[in-house]
Amino acid sequence: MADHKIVFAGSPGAGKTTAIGAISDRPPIVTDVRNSDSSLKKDFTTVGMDYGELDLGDGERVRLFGTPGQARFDFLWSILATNALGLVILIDNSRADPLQDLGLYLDGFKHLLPEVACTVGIGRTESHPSPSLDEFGDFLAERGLICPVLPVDVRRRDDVLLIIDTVLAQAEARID
Amino acid sequence: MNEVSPVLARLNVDGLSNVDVARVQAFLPYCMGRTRCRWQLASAGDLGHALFVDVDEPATINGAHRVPGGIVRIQRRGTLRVPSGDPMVLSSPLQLEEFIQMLQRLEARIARAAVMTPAAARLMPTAATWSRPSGSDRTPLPAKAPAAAWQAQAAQQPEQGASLSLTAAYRLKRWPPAGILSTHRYNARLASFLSARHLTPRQLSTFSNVDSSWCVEFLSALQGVGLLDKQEAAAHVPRAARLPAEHAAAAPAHRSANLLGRIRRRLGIE
Repeated sequence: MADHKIVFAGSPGAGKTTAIGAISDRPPIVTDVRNSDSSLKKDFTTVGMDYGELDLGDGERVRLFGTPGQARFDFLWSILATNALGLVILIDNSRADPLQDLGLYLDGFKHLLPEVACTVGIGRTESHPSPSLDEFGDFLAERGLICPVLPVDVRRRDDVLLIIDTVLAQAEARID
Repeated sequence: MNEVSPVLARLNVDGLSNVDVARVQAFLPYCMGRTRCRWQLASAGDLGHALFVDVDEPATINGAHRVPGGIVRIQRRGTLRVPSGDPMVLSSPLQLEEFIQMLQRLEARIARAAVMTPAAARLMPTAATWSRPSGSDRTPLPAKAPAAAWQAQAAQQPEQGASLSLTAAYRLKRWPPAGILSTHRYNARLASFLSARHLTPRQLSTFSNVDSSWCVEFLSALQGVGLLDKQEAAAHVPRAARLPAEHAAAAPAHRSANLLGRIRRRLGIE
């Protein structure tokens, strides 16, 4: 069986588990525990990884991994993303400093970004329009990165598919 | 930045059925904000900036050559009187999203006509800026310039289709401002391809499965505001033009492309 993987990373509460559930063939396997981090506004948080999969038939499948969002688990990020088909970084725009959050993940995946197709999805932009998508684009440009930056509501499957579409487009363009 | 009043553009729908005319009238208010121009119906005897005609109308219409946007033909949905890929054809009953995309396409055609002919420039009040030759007095923005600067440049100097080469390959210098991407649902996909490598307009259309005329228009818009890095034809070798010795090495690439295609089909991404 040939396996491929797409990795979902990003800030706690950004919706990695929901995004995986939107496209996975089966309900995602989650490793959530009761949250003990008072800075996070949710009852449960992922401490291991989330897992879903997409069966392509003929013995091929795409594994969908969600990394734990908290920085103390950063050692797992690049382990999961190595040799990935694509990387999706989800940012929760309602958090205190979303740009700093993005910087954290860009640093965490720094050595992989030249090789792995990456799209940045910004959540909760309707209730929290600042920073704007263009400010995120500026932030990436300052780092010399050209990644798609798109608004996303992970509860909408079409939004998640658009994110995946842009990841696949980059991956296809990189084939030489 | 000061708000700029949208330019008025007129649409001649004399050749349409009453049902389609009613639909156009109903759609026009919803186009505000999605199109650069403020579109309205042309009055009697005025050809306007674009003509909508039934596919059965005679091919020759007096004065049609003076219409900068050209002629859009309307055919009944499900029939194939003209090829479905023709960018100047719409299906009836008209649908809002397709209608808006057609207006956006017409605006790009009008802009190009304004670059080429003084007559068209007179039709579009803003054509004075569009007719400025490429490489004009503006200073190119660095890739790290904030999106607001690119957006402002886009507003001052929209696309210059004449400066786009069909044989050269283009790549994004940075991710485009949201205002440029929001004009068409396929723009994010096209920009994603262009973020990863240099592509010719034809390659972009082939890889993205997006109509080539729209690819050219999107590239023209990006080129017009200096968001593209250009590579001349000799500097890049299209995937399909490899030497025989490279074919063996190209097999894994073919498999990878096939895999991505299967993922798209599996997820229902067109």
